[in-house]
Amino acid sequence: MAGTAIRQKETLNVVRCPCCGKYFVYRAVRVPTKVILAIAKTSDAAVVYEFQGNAMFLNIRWAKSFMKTLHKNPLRYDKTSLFRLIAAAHFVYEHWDKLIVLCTNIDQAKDVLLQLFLKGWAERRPVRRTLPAQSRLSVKSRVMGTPVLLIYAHNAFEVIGAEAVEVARKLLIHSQCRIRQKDDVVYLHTHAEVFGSLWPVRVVLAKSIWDVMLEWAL
Amino acid sequence: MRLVRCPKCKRSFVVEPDFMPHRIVMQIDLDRTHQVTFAFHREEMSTTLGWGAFLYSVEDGNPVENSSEGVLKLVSVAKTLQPKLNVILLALPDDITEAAHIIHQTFLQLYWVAQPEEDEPPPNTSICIHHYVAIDHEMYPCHLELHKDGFWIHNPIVQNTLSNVRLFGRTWKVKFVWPSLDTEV
Repeated sequence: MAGTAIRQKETLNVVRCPCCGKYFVYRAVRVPTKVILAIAKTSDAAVVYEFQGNAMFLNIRWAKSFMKTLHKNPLRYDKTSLFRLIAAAHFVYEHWDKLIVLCTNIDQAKDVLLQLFLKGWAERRPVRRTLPAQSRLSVKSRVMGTPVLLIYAHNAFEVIGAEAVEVARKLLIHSQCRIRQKDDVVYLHTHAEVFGSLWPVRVVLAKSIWDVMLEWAL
Repeated sequence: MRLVRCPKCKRSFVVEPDFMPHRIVMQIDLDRTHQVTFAFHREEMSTTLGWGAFLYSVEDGNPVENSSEGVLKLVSVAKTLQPKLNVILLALPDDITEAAHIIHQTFLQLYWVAQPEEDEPPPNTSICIHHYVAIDHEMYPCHLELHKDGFWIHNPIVQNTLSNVRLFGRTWKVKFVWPSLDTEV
């Protein structure tokens, strides 16, 4: 019955109740930006864990129902937390099929999805690895002063879409990047501070757009 | 120490427990067959309810700070808790498990708001620190019983070897107590 606070070098702020066995966040942490983890292994169900300020929101789509719930945020804005988040994503992903069978309605699903995430967060070892398939981790940040949504991909972050064009334009003006081309895609390599450390960032552009940009620049 | 409350089952428990190097035991005797014992050692706490021939324990993290304030808070808790215990036991005569949990929960809530009190523990209550005293390179165990005027020691071996004792960051007076002749054996 001992209070089983998960004791490691870092303080996790997640604890398991010795009486009912449920995990919960007992002290919210503040994140300076918005972090979004989305998992949708099957087409009829999806969950988005959204971390902002002291809050963690769970956006759930289950069959044709939608639900948004508010909880305390366990996420710290550091490198270990990023890897812990990826580990938790894998834990939720691994239990997804059981979840689909066990939870007949969205109310049950919301409890299980929260518990699975917190259990994975607290008990899985944080590891540097890729995210599971059909899941996405993104962070709101700034590259060259432009607010962008950085998407985690293979130990780096990517900028895509309209934001990528804006960032690429600035990078081109300041000549602060390496450029690589692969098939019809152009990658502009730069860096940004995410989760408290400097990460490589790839700005992804279609070659056709890149050619137009170059024409304008010349 | 941090006391948290489970949002699901509403039970309180200790996370980030304090380390208590000495074993502290607080015992409240309700009558000859019912007593409640709170023991604190290292990072653990246990609440044991003695119910005739039965015992039931609740384990938790240690909430007591390793300081004189922590120990003196126990006096305050005992003074508030002792009158409540009879009521708790009368209300739950058949369920020893639930009674032990309720007593443990009550203790935590009281400790959370307690202020240190340099006072005598309430009647039928003892607060003892299990401590070892070195005499001629030998370690002798003794129970230091907390009173208003310091600690009382019953161990005759360590008599006249101590005038005071330093514990929990401060110096406490020590009084030696001879066993009374009319003590029941």
